Amino acid sequence: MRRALPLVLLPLLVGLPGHGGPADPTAFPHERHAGLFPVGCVLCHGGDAAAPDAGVYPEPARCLACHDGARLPRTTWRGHAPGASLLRFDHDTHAGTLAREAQRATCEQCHGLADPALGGSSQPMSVGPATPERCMTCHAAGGAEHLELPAESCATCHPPLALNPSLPAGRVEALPTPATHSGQGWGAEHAGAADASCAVCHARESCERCHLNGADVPAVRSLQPDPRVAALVAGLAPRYPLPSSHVQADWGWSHGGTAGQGAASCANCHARESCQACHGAGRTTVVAALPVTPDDDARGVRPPVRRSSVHGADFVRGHGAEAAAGTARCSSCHAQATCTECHAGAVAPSFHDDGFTARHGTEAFAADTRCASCHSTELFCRSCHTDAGMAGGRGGAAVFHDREPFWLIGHGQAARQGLESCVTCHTQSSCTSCHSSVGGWGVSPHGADFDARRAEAASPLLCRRCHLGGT
Amino acid sequence: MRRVLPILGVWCGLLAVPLQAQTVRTTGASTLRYIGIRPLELDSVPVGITTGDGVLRRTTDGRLVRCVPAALHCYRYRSGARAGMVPAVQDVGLSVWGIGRGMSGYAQVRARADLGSGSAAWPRADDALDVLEAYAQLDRGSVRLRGGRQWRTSGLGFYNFDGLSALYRADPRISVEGFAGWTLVRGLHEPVSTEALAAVETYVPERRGLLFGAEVRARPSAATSLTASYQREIRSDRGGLYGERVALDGVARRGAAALELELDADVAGRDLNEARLRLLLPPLYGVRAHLQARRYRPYFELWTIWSAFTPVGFSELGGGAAWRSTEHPVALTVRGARRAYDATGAELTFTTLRDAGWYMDVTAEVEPAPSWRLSGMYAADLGFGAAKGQGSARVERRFGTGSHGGLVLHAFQRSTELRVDEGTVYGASADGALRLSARTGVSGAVSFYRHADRGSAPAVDWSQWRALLRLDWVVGPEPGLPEVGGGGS
Repeated sequence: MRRALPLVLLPLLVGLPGHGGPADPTAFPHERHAGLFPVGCVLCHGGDAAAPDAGVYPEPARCLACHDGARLPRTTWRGHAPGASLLRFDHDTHAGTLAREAQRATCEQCHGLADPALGGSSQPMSVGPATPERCMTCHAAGGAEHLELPAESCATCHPPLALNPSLPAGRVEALPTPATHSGQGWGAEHAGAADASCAVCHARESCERCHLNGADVPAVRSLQPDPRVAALVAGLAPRYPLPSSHVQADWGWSHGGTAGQGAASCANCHARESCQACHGAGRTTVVAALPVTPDDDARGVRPPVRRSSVHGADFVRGHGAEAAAGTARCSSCHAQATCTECHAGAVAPSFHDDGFTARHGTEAFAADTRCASCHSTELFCRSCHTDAGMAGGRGGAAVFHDREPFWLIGHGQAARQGLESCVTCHTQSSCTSCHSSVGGWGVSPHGADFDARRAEAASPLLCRRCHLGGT
Repeated sequence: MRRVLPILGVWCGLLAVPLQAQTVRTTGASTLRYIGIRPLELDSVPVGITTGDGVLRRTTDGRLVRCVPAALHCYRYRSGARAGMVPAVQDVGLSVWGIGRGMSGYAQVRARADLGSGSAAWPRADDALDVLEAYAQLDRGSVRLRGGRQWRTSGLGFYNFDGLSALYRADPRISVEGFAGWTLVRGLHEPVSTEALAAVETYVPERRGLLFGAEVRARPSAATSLTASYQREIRSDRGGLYGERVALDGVARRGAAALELELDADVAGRDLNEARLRLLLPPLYGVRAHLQARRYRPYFELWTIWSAFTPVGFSELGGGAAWRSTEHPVALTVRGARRAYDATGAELTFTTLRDAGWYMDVTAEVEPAPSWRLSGMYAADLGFGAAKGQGSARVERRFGTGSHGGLVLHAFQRSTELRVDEGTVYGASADGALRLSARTGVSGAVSFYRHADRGSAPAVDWSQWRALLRLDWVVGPEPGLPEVGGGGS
C-alpha cells in the first residue's frame, strides 16, 4: 500500500480534469504550501489502506488546524466532492500492476509539472493533473499520440459513457474524435472494430442515428441508451458511407448474390424502401426481411432510381437474350405485367421516349427493336398511318413518296430492303394489283433466291393468292 | 364474345373452389392520353401554277408537288385541320391464390375507348375489351401446368395464345416445356381469323391457327444458360403452315465479361431471321463496353404474301461503351453501329437509294445533388428510308420514392429519304409522378412540339400537343409476404 500511496494524487482529488486542460483554479495551491509539507505527498494523501482510492484526500479538519479563522483565514473547504470522470482509474490497481511488472512509480511521474530548468524533474509540490500525454509515456509504444491509439484501446482507461451520468452534455459533445474515425473507409468498416471501447464515447442512439436495424445488431444492443446522446444526435442527419463493394461497375447487377446470403448486412443501411426504389412491388425474400421505415424517418439509404445502375443504359433494347436464355431470372424483380406494359402494345409510357412517334421512322427501318414484337402491323401501325394521312391509298401513296421522281419504277429496291415498313401502310392487295398473275399486271415480285417449291410446300395457299386467285 | 367464353369458363371453374381459401390481388393502371395533331391530307394544285417539267415540280411559291403526265392537276400532301385523340385505357390485373397447394390464377384485362371527337382515332380504340391473359396454374414441385390464355416469352418474341402448357423441371439446371393451343395475332390478342384483321387486310386466314411448340432451358453452370425453342403454327384444317420457327438463345459469363447469342430462324422458309452476337467486356477504368455483330432479315407469317416478295436483310456491326464514375454520380454512354443491306436485284441506275446506314447516340447523366438529376442525349441515324438527328436535355427532381418532377427540352431534325418532309422540331415536356400511398401512384406528362423549319414541304406541319395522365393502384396482399405500407385490402 505504501508504494501505492504516491500514486494517489491530486488528479483524482480535484475531480479528473479534462485532457491536457489547465488545472482547476479552485484546486489546492500546492506550491504556496511547499514549505509546510516537505515530507512529500503522503502526508496529506496517504489514504486509507482499507479504502483504496477513497481516502486519498485529506480531511477538512487538517486544513482547519491552521486555517482556523484566528491564525489564518478559515477555510470553507468541505472536503473533496467527486466529479464527473472520464477515466477508468484506480490507483491501487494501477500500482499493483506496476508492482507485478517490478516497476515503481512516483507521484511526480504522473502529476509533477516538469521544470526544464531542473532537467525535466519537478519542483517540490509543483504538481498538476495527470494528462493523457503522461499516460502515453507508458501506455503507447513508439510515442503515439493519445487520439492516434487504436480505437479498441479506449476502454483500457475510459469507462462507458452511460456509467458516467454526471458528465455534462457539453463535455459529451466536445469529446474528441480519434484519428481512426476520420480515416477513409472507417464508416464502412467500423463494424469490424466494434467492441467495448465504442461505449466510451457512444450510446445506443449514436448507432441508431443511421442503423435501421440497431435492435438486431449485438454491438448496438450492447450499448446503453443515453439521453445526452439522444439529444445530441436528434438533429443530425444520418450519414451513410458507400462501401467499396457498392462502387464496382456491376454491383447493381450482381448484388443479388450478396443479398441472398442474408439481409442482415443490408439492413444496416437499407430499408425495404431502398430496394423498392428499383425492385418495385416485386419483393424477394431478402427485401421482405428488411425493416420498414415510416415516412417521416430520415434513416435508410435512398438509392437513386437509375435503371442503368442495374441493367445498363442499353438494357431495354438488348434484354432479349438475357430474358430468352433464362439467365436473368427476370421474375426475381419483375411481374409479368412489367413485360406486358411494353410488349402488349397500346400503352407504353416508358419504353419509347418523348416524341418518339414523330421520329420513329428510322428505328422502324433499322429494326433495332422489332415493332412487330409488340404492335400488330396491320391494326396498329397501319391504322395510325392511315389516320395521319400517310397511308392514303394507291394514288396518295405515290404522292407520299415524293422524294423519288420515278418511285413506282424504282420502288423494288426499297421494298426488298424495307418491306416491313411498306406493310405499315400498304395492304396485300396494294401490291397484288400489279404483282399478281390473276387480276394484276403479272409483275413478278420474287427475288433471285425465291424457292417456289419450298413456298408451295409450306403453304399452298400462299401461291394461290396470286397465281390461282385462291383465297 | 364467343372467343371469350372459354376463358370465362376457366375462371368460373377457378372461382368455384371455396372462397374462404382464396386470396386475391388486383392491380390497375388507368391511362388517359391526348394527342393533338394535324393529319396529312392529299391536296391538288392546277398544273398551270407549277414550274419545271417531269414528275416532281414546284409551285410558284416553291412547294414541291408531284405531277402525273398529261393530267390537269398536280398533287401534294398538306396538313389538315387539327384532330384530337383522347384514348383511355384501363388495365386490370388479377391474381388469385390460396385455392390449394400450388394452385393459382392470373388474368389481365384491357378496356379501351377513344373519347376524342376528331377524325383521327387511336389504334384499336374501337376494340373495347381485350383479355391479355387469363389462365389457371398448378405448380407443384417439378411440374407446372397452365391452362387458358397465357404469355410466351422466348427468343421468338413475346406473344400469347389460348391453350395448355406443361413445364417439367428435371433438375435445377434443366427444364422442358411443351405447349399447344390456338394462335393469337401478335399485339392483337385475337385469333388470326378475326374480323378485325379482315377489315383492314385483303388476304386473311379464314381458319384459325393451331400452335405447337417446345422449349428446353439448360443451365450447365452458374455462368452459362441456353434456351432452345421450336414452334409450329398450322391452319386448323391442316391446309398449310402459318409459320414454323426455331430460336436459340444463350448467355455465357466469365467474371464480368459475357457473351450473348440470339438466333431465330424461319424453318419453313429456311431463312435466318436474326443472328446477334454480343460481347460485353469487363469494366476497365470504369468503362463497360460491348461489341455486337448482327444479321437481320424480316420474318413474315405465311398467311401473308410478303415472304414471296423476297425481302433482303442487312448485316450490322456496332458497339458501345458506358462509363460510370465510382466517386461521383456521373454516367456517360456511347453507342453506334453501321449496317449494310444485301443486294436486292432490283436496283436501278437512275435511283440512288441508300443501301447502307449507321447510327450513333450519346447520353450523359449527372446528379449534382441527391435529389436532382440532369441528363442529355444526342442521336443521329442515317439510314435507308429515313434519317434523323435529335437531342434532348432533361432536369429531374425526385421527391422521395416514387415521386418526381421533370422538364425536358427536345429538338430533332428528320429527313426521309423516300419523301420530302425535312424539318426541325422543337419541343418541351413536363412530367411528374406522385406516390399517393405505398400502393397508389399518379403520373402525368404534357408535351408540345413545334415544327419550326419545314424545309421544302412547308404545308406539312408536325406541330402537336401530347398529354398523359395515369393512375396505378394495387389492392390485396402479395403472395407469401407480409403486408407493407398502407392501402390495400
